[in-house]
Amino acid sequence: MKEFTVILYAGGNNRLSTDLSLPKSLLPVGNRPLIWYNLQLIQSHPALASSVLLILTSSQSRQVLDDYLSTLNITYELIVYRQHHESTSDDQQQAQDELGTLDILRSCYSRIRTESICLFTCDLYGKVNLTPLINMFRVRDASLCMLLLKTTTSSTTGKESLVQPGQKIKYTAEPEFYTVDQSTNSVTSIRLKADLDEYFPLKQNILAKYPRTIIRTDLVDAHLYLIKKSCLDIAICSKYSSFRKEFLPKMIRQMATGQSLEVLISTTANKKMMIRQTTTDLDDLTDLSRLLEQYDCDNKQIRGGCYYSIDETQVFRVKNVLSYLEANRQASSQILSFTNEDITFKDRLEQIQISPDCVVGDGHEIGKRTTIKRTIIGKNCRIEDKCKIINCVLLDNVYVKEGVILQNSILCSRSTIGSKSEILNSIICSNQQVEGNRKLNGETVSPASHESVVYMVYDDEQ
Amino acid sequence: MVKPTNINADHLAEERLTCVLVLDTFNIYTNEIVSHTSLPLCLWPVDGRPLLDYTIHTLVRSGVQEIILLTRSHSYEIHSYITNSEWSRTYPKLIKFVSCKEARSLGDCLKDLEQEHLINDKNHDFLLLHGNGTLLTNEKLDNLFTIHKENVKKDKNCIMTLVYRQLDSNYIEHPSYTDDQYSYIMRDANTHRLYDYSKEYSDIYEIPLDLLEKPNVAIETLYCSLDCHLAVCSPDVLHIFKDNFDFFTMHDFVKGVLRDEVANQTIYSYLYEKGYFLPVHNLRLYMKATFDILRRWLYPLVPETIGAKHSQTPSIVANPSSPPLKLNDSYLSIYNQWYRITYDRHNIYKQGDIQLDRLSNIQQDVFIGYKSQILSGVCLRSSVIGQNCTIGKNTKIENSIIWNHVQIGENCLIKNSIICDNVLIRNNVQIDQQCILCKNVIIGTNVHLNERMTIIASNSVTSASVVDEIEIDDDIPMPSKNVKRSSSKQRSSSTRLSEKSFSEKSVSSSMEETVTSNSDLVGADGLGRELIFASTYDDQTKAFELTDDDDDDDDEDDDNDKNELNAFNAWGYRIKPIENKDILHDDDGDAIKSKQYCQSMSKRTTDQSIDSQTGDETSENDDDNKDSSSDDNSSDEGNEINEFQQEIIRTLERAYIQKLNIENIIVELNMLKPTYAVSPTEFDQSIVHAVFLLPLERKIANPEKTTYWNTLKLTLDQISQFIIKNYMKITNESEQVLLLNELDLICLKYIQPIGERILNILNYLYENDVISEQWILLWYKNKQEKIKTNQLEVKPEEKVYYDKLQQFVEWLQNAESEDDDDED
Repeated sequence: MKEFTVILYAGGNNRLSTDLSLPKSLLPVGNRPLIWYNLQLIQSHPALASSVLLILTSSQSRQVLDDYLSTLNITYELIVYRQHHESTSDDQQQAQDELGTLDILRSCYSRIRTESICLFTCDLYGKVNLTPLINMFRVRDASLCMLLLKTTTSSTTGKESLVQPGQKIKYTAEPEFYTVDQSTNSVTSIRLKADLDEYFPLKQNILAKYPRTIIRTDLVDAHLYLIKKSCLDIAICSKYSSFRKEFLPKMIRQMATGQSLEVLISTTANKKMMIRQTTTDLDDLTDLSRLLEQYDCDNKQIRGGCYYSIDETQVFRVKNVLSYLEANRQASSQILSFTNEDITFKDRLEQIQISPDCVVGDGHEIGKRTTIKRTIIGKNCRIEDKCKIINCVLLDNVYVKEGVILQNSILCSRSTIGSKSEILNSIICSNQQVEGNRKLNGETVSPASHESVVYMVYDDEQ
Repeated sequence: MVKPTNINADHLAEERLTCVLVLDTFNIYTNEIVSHTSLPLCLWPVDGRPLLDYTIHTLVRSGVQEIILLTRSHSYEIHSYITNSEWSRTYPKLIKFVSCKEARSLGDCLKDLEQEHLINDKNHDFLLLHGNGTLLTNEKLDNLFTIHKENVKKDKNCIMTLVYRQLDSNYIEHPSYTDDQYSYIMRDANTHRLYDYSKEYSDIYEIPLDLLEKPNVAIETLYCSLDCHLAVCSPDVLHIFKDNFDFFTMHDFVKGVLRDEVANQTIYSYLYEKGYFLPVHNLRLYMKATFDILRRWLYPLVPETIGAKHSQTPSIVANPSSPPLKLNDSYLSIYNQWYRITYDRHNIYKQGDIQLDRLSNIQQDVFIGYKSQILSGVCLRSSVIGQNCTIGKNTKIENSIIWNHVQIGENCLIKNSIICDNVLIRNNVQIDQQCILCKNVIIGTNVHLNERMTIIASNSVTSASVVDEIEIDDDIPMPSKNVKRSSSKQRSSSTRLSEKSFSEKSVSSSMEETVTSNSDLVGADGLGRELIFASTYDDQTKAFELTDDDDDDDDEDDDNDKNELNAFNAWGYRIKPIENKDILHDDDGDAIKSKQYCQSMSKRTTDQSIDSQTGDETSENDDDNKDSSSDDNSSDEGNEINEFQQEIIRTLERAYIQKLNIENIIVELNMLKPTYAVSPTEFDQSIVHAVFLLPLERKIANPEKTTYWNTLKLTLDQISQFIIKNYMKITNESEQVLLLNELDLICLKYIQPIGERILNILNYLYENDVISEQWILLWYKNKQEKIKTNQLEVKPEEKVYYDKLQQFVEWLQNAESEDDDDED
C-alpha cells in the first residue's frame, strides 16, 4: 500500500501572455515548464516518487497539459475540476474563477485512497529538501505538516538593483503571523493580518499549552502540505472553500486548544453523512461502494497536531514578475541540480557574444555582433544583428530586429521588436509588436482591450 | 582571609560582584505563620542547615564577593546566625546587613539600601534576589553579570535583566510552579528585550500589531515560566525605586519601567533552559526544596558536602569568646553544632549519633538529625527528622519535615506536613496534607487533623504544658535528660522573647494572654488552636483578638499591597477566585485546586468552541463584551438589566446568523443569568424584550427591503418562538401574562414598527401555540377594565395599536364561537 497521494494543483491561469491556452503550470522557466520543476521535486523523494500522482487542472488547459505530460516518463492522472460552483447560491459572492482549494479538492476527493496526502501547487520553485518535512510528518504522527518559507525581501544576485519590469504594480503581500513553538516545531496559530485590528490576541488556553512561542512575521506559506486523510475529511465536510485562508487557521486553533475538529464540519446533516473511504487499493467501484461506511471522526487520529518546517534554501513561489525573473535566473542551476543537465548555451558562435549563464532554446537564429547576457531565450527565436540583450526573458518565437537594446524585460511569445528600439524594464505581451526606434522604460505593451488586466500577477490560488 | 576563587580573573580585577538578598516575602500569610515558629523563613531548616546557607553557597560558588542582606523582621536571628556561622569566619567581609524594620515592601527595602550608599559606583551592577532571597540553584550565576553587561553594551538604556527558568512541562502540573508565580511575558526572541509583562490573569493577551511589524523584532511569549526572583540590576534601579514611591514590588517596577516611555529605559530577560532553580518563597516550595535537596537534585550542593563546609572549627562554637551576640538562642544554636553526616544508599542521611531501631523501616530520601530516636516499626519516607526527635513505635511519616526536639507518639500517621520545634504529638494521631504545627503545639491522643491546618500554641509557656511533657514520659520511655533539655529551651525562648524589644510579640500581650486551646481540634490533652487570618475569613472576630497583637505592623500593609502579594496564601495558592470565572474557588480549597483551575480552563474553551463554530470574529467580540460587561457588575440595577438585555439580543442575533442549535442557545442564555444577577422575572422580561427588539435594533437581513414584521417573522421562525416557548410555558398563567404585558409595553413604546403589527404578531404566536387564546382574552379583559376605570390612558397615537388589538381579539372570539358552533 502506498503512503502518499500526491495532489499537484496545476490550475490557475497566467496573465503574462494573453494566450489563455497556456496555463500557469506550463509557463516556461529556463525553457521548461514550471510544472517540470515540481515533478522533479516529487521524484526527488522516494516516498513521493512512488505515490499516486493526481494533477488537478481546469478543462481548458487539460489538453495542453496532457500533451506535455505525456512526453515525460511518469505515471499520472489528470483530474479536471469543475470550474464553477454548481449552484449559484446567493451567499457565494466569490467571482467564478476564484474557486477555493477545498472546492477543487472536493471534486477529486473520491480518488484519494491513502492515509496521507501531499498537496501542493505548481508554482513552488526551487529544490526543497522534503526529507525533514516528511520525516517530521511520520515521526510526530502529525495531522498536518506545512512548509514555510522565509520571505526573501530581495534576492539580488547581481549588482544591478532589481527593477520590476512593466507597469508598476503595487504588490503587497498580506502579512501573516505564524505563532510557532520552536522546540517542537508545532504551529499554534495562523492569523492573517486582515483579520486583526490593532492587537494580536493570544489566548490564555493556548499559551498554557505552549508557554514559549514565537510569533514569526517573516514566513510565508509554501503551499506544500502533508495532510492526514482524517484531517482532510473534515476539511472536505466543512463549509469553507479556501483551505489556507479559512480552514487551516481554524483547524490549527482547534488543535492548539485540544478540541475536537468536528465542530468545523458545517452542518449536523453533513456530520451524519460523513462517510469514509477505506484506504485499500480497491479499484472496483462496486467494492468501493460497499466499503463506504458511516464514519465517525476519530479524535485520536486528528490529535497529531500541526507542524512546520522552514526551508532555508532559496525556495520561493513564482507568483509575480519579480519572482518569475528570479526563477529564470536560477533555472540553469536548478536544472543542473535536479538532473545534472547543463542547459546553458555552450556553442561558440562567430562574432556573437553569449555569456555562459544564458539559456538559448532550439531553432535559434542569432545575428552577428549581438551581445547576450544573463538571458533566457526560448525556442525558435530570431535575433538580428547588433542587438544587446541583458537580463531578459524571451519566450518562444520572439523576433528581435536589428540593433535593439533589451534590458531587464520580458518578451512573451510571438512578440516582435522593431529595429533600433530600446526597451528597459518592460513587458511585451504575446503577439505584440513594437515599432522601430521606440524607447520604452517600465511599460507594459499589451493588446489595447486588455490594458487594465495585463500584468503578471498570477492567480494567487488559495 | 580566603577570597572566593573559580571566577575569571578579569572580573576580579575590574569590580566586585555584589548580591543583594531581600530576606522577606512580604506576604502577610506567610509572615504570620513564620511568626509562630521560632525562625524566619530563610533560616528554616533543610537537612540540618538553613535554606539561606544554600543560597550563600551558590553565591560564593559564583564568585560573589559581597552579599548584602536586607532584613525586615527577625533581623536579630539572621544577624546572630550569620555572625556565628562559618561564613563570617571564612569570609569576614563577605556579608553585610541592612536592617529595614520599617519596610513594608520590596520597594521600601531598596530605598533603605539606597540610603546606605553601599552601591555607589555608576557601573556597579548587582544581583537582586528578592522574594525571601532564598534561591536554590546548582548553576553558577556569575555569567549573569556578563549577560547583563552585554545587554547594556547593545542597549544603553538597559537597566535590568530578569532571570527565568523555563518549565519543561505544563506549568499547572509542574511542582515548582505555584499560583503566585503566574506571569505572562512578551519579549524579543533575539535580543530578549521585554516588551510586556503581566501577572494578572486574562483570557486573551494582546500584542500591538505595530510592534509585530517592526523590522528585526520577533516576539516571543513566555507564559508562566519559573520566576527565579532574580535580577541583575544597574544601580539606576535603586534610584528609580527611590523616585517612584508607588513601586512596591518588582512587578510594579517592571510594569512602570516598561510603560514609562519618557525615560526610555529597557528591561531584558534571560531564560535558563537547564539547571535546577527553585526560589523558595512559600511553604509549598519550602517543602519541595527540602525533598529536592534530599533527592540530590541540587548536586553538587548536597547535604553532606554543605555540612562539611561548616565542620572546620566545631570547637569555636563551644568557645564563647568570638560571638558578639549572646548565643542563648536555642533554635539557632542547632546550626552551630556540627556533626558528620553519613550518606547511605537510597538517599538516607544520618547526622552524627542516632538511635535507629533495627525494626524500623527507612525507605528513601530521609534525613535523620543528631540524637534522634527512631523506634521499632517506624516507617519513614521522604522526610526530614531534626535533632533530638523521638518517633514512637509504628508511626508512619511521609513527605514531612520535622524540626528539632519533636516528640511523636505511637501509631501516628503524618503526611505532607511541617512540624516545628518542640511539638509534642501523642499516640494515634493522624495529620494530613499540608498542616503546619507551630512551635510548642501539643496534639492530643486520637486526634485527626484535616487538610491545610495551621496550628499554633499560645506564646507563653504555662506550667500546664510542662506537666503535659512529664505525662508523656509515661507513654514513651525517654532519657530524662532530654526532657530537661527541651523544657529549659522553652524557658530560654520565653525569656528571649521578653528581652527583645523589637520582637513582634509585645511583652504586655504575652503576659496577659491566657492559654486558649481548642480542645475540639487538638484533643483534651492537647495545646493549640487554629491560626485564622483576619483578612480571609469573615467569622474570625473572636480568634482575631489573639492574632491581633502579632499583626500590628502588618495591618496597614494589608491595604497597601493586598492586591499584589496577599492574593496568595502561605502555600502559594491564590486566595481570591480569579475574576471573570464561573468556577468558584473555595477558600479552603486544597491541592486539587490547581486541577480545578485546569478544568475551569478547559470548560471555558469548550464554551468557546460553541461560539467558534462559524464566525470566529464574532465570538471573540462577544467574549470581549461579556468580559467588559461583567466587569461593570457594580453599576446600578437598571443598567445591568439593560446590559443583560443587550447581551441576550447579541446572543440571539449570533444564534440566528449562525443557525445555532436551540438547545445550545438556551444553555447559553441560562449561563448568562448568574453573570448578571437578574431576578427570574427580570430575566423573562429581558427575553421578551430581546426577542421583539432584535429585528429592530439589528439589521439582520437586507435592511432596505424588509419590514420589521418580515424580519421578526424570520427570527421567530428560526429561534425566537422556541426560546419563548421554553421560558414562558403556554400552561403557566403568570408567565403568559408577563409575556403579554411586556409585549404590550414594547408595542406602546415602538408604536411605529411594532405596535401597528400587533395583529400579525399575536396571530403568529397564537398559530404557533406560543400563547394560548385563553390568556390573551383574560389579559385583554383586564386591560379593557383598566382603560374603562381610567387607570390606563389611551393616547391618540396609541389608538392604532389598540384598534388592531381589538380587531384581533374580536377575531379570536369569533373563531372561538365558530369552533363552538362546529362542535355543537
